[in-house]
Amino acid sequence: MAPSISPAAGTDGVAARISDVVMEFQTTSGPVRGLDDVSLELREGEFLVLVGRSGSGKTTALNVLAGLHTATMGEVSVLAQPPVAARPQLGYMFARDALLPWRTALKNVEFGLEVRGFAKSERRALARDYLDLVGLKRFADNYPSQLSQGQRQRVALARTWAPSPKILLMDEPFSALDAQTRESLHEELVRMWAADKKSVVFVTHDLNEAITLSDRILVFKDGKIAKEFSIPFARPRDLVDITADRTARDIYHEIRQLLYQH
Amino acid sequence: MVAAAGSSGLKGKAGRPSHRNGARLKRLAGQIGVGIAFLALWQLVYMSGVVKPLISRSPGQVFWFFVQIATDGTLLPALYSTVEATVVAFVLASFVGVVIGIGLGLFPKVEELLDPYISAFNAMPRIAFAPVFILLFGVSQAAKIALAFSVVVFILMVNARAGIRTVDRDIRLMVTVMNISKRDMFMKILLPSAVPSIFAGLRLGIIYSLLGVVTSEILASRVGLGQLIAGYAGTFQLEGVYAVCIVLAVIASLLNAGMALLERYLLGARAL
Repeated sequence: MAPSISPAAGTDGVAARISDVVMEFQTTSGPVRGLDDVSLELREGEFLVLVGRSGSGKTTALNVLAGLHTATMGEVSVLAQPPVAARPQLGYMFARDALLPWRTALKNVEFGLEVRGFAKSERRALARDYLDLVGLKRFADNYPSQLSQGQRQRVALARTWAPSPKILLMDEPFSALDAQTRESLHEELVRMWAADKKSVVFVTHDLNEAITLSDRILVFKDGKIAKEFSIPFARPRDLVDITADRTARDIYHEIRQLLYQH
Repeated sequence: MVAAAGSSGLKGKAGRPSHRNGARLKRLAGQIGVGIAFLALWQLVYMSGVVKPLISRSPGQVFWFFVQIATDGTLLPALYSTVEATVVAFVLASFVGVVIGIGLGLFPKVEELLDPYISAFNAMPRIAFAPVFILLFGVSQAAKIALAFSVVVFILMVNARAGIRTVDRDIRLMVTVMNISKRDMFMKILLPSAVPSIFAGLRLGIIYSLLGVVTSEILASRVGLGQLIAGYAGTFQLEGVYAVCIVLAVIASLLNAGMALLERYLLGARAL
């Protein structure tokens, strides 16, 4: 299960790598291990999903990749660089949209391009394209307070996607949405991902979501990777077909058992 | 589904203005009604004689006194002097307060050092400084402006500092991952985040500026609404005191409404 680690491997098909990482947090009841000797690889163009209960270390792993946490022990490389240096190539999307309330939808999408130094006319055009891609062309001039939760999350998706990052880190980005909106956003995400072949790390606790979206699932438990699953289904996938599929159901139940046993 | 939600949203928006105008008229009518009821109550209390004749005046007496000072050239110079001092003090104090407040918000280490002194200074009764300012600047506009400034500058300082500090946690994380430059962080995140809080400070500040100026005028001044109040009170012309107080209330409402308009104009549909 532990991927083989060849040190200083460049980016030979690997977009990001966490090697033997321990992440300790100081709490009032003593140190807690958020990650306990975790190793994982994100392959180029791969859709990798991390599942686990809350506190299992999946978001911590994502934050280590984004350079928001510095590993207590072990090595982290993103595009063969330290995570912080790789940030211009990273997109990070949160469960909450983190839109800027004083900017319109269009200007929010432009924001990521703006801070990366895109010229004004170019970023305006790109932002319009991506807003169009997530189906919000007509809402370009609306402020976040004038959009529904699903629309706001779409704007956040467009903002994350527009600078064309090589790696996307997504932390339960759709968990606050209703089932229908989530499904339509899944479709858009997979369509965009298939078109651009970016590498995605997607954190969720929703097993159906994990199976529908992923090439590979890593199950986190108590700060360790408990098991890895390859998801073999052809794309595009349909949630209804997937949930009816025998293999998918077996995977679902196996992960579920892993998560619930103590 | 999204399209449906969107179109209903647009329809709601298109349909709103006329509906909103109707609601606004209704509200205005209600507010005028409350005003009339208040005047009627005032008249009743006056006629019932429960309030000492020394201080009790009817709405009519106050109104006619107002008409008299408005037409004999007493009111306008005083009004002009007070409003001028209020606006000058407000603009100066807002500028200084916002700059210092943002500075304190950006540099917590500096704030740590200064905070106890700022709080202590802000807790001092500013009216006690009025004689000091009068000795310093003479019985002048400058003395009034100084007192109002000493009140308003703290309001803006506190609000600007709080605004800079209260950036949403998720937005902070997002821009961290974007490797945002210090300059962009300030111009594109911190400053816009602080705007609502600064505006709340401005709306309070303009009223406190007026109060500071009038306080200074009551203590000592050559011209001003506060000076009129002090004069009428000294000669037991209570109808004059009440008339000027009502003028002050109207000015305060106008200033407040003006700030609200400015805020709406500057912030637009941002609707926080």
